Amino acid sequence: MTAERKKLVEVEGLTVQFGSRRHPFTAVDGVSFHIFEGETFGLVGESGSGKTTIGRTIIRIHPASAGKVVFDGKQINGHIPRALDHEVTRRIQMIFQDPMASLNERAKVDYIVAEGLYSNGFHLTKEEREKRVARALEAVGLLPEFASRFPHEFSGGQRQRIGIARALIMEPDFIIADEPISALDVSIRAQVLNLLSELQKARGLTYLFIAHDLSVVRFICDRIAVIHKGRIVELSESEELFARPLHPYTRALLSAIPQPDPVAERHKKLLVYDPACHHYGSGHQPTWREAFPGHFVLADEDEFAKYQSQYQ
Amino acid sequence: MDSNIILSVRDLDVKFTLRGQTLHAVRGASLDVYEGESLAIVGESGSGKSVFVKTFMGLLDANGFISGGEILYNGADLTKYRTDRDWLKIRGREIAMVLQDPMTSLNPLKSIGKQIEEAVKLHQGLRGAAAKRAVLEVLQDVGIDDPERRYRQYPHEFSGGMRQRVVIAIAVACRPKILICDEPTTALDVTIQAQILDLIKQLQKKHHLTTIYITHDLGVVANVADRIAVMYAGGIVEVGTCEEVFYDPRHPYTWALLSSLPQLGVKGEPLFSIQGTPPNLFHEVKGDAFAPRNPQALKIDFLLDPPFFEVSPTHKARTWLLDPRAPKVDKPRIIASREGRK
Repeated sequence: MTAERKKLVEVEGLTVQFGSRRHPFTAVDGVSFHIFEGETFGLVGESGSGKTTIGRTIIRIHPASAGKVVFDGKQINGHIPRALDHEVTRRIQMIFQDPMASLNERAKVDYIVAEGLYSNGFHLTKEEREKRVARALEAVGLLPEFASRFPHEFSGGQRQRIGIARALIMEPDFIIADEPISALDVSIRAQVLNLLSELQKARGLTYLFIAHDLSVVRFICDRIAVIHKGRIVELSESEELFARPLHPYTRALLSAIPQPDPVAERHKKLLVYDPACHHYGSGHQPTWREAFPGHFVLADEDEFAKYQSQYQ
Repeated sequence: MDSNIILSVRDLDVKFTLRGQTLHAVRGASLDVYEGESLAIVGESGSGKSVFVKTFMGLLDANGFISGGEILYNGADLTKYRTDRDWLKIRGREIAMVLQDPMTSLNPLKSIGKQIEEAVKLHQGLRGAAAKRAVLEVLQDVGIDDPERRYRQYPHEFSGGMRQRVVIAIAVACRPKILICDEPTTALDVTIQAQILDLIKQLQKKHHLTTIYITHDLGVVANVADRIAVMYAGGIVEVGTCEEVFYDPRHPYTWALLSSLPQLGVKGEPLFSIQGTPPNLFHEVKGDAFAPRNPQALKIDFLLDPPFFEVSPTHKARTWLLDPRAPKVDKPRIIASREGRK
């Protein structure tokens, strides 16, 4: 079923290292996955797991140390032709976590939203630019009049909408949303999540949704990758992942989701993930295996058999 | 739960003056806190929940003042306290607080041990080796391994979760009666969050604490709370036991808050979301503060502020819907489907 779907983004063996060459720190360690056109792909992990680094490497804020990122059939990391560079800059956009910190306090909404147009050589007339800004604001449910205001005049939810408008004005195909709702209030979260799904339906957008909250990811994502210490440990369709979690880390993560249900909470058993349970050694490393159709897990031979037998 | 009231707040009004204008942050909130229970105060940002509990410790900003009501604790009215000397009898010793962000509530220039020792010296009057022994004990209490080594370390050598444990250690070291946790886990990862909540629960049992949680996360609340108070626009709109509020909520705001959780949403369908924004508390709020955002609001909601209606001895809500004369309004589908779970 998935065979004929077009892969918009492919990440292969991506490794990102920070620090000096003598003391490198590997934030992302040989990660591979792909994102189909029009889907929402979730990347879940704790802070420090490298999930944000992956997003930032795809949009080329960080250079990749090894591996490649392919977007729409073309490799986009490393040295690429200028025309492609412009195209990629336009087609991949990002939404940030904290709308209080990610908007320029001294610029008007008009400029904040249009900044991408200025810096990518669109050379539009003033009218054309204003029209685009107005359209982008309307698309996210804000009034075009807001263009002449400053960010501090808006609430958190409205600011996040401005952040989304700023991404939309470039008419991207692929949006990386890095914890877009973590900093928002519960009642506002629902509004922003709905907005993201509406935009996806209307414009056929593809999302990479980075988050630590599995309940949100389950709601919005088609497929989920669980990442731990820079490596993806499990990848599957979201309902499948919740129904049959294989890797002990995924199970620990699932067990920790707070439920708005006092009875369920009282009987909840918290699982703790201990990396020592793996017994990996030199020459005995886990590999990427398919346990069920479309459901992958990082495991060695014995573990794999054990994981699979749990659900038979 | 039949136990004594440890803290009782009556019709509390808190105002702030800002550039010549007055902001009515807490509007006539009343609440009883029972000894040994864990109470959660839930609300969005700006609902006044933090301001409300800050008055228990005299921690309002300089431009804030209590303009009415009383806070009774141990026979004394805390609203009468003016000087820091008065408050030192309460702060830390009787009521202690754990703040949201462990990154900012610790001093980066002092070792962890010294910071906890400060509290031990001040409140338990211990000195020298005895003080250090008490600190090591507290560190062990909050689940920090190898306390001897950790004692000498600085906040930057601790992870977020460990730092929050230290903050809790400082709060508990004073042996308070009431522990207030203001969004204790919002800055932490899900797995760590569960551990910290467990820790607070353990400590509560061990030291017979009364805990007050302030949070906007209803998932956290279900885990820890015995009773829940829902706050909106400076007033408490619904109080009940955890089961009552989660399975049989009565106030439209509580319905809206629960329905907008992604955990309860159906995939592929839009999530329920509350329209509009909370009222501007610089202006007088007329009638039910939630009415403008409530699609099922009655006419009277815009005219008169509803009183509390009792649903059960432990459960009351402030909405005209509970008045016998009110028309029957159906609960949202998501809420109605939860009733049977009790």
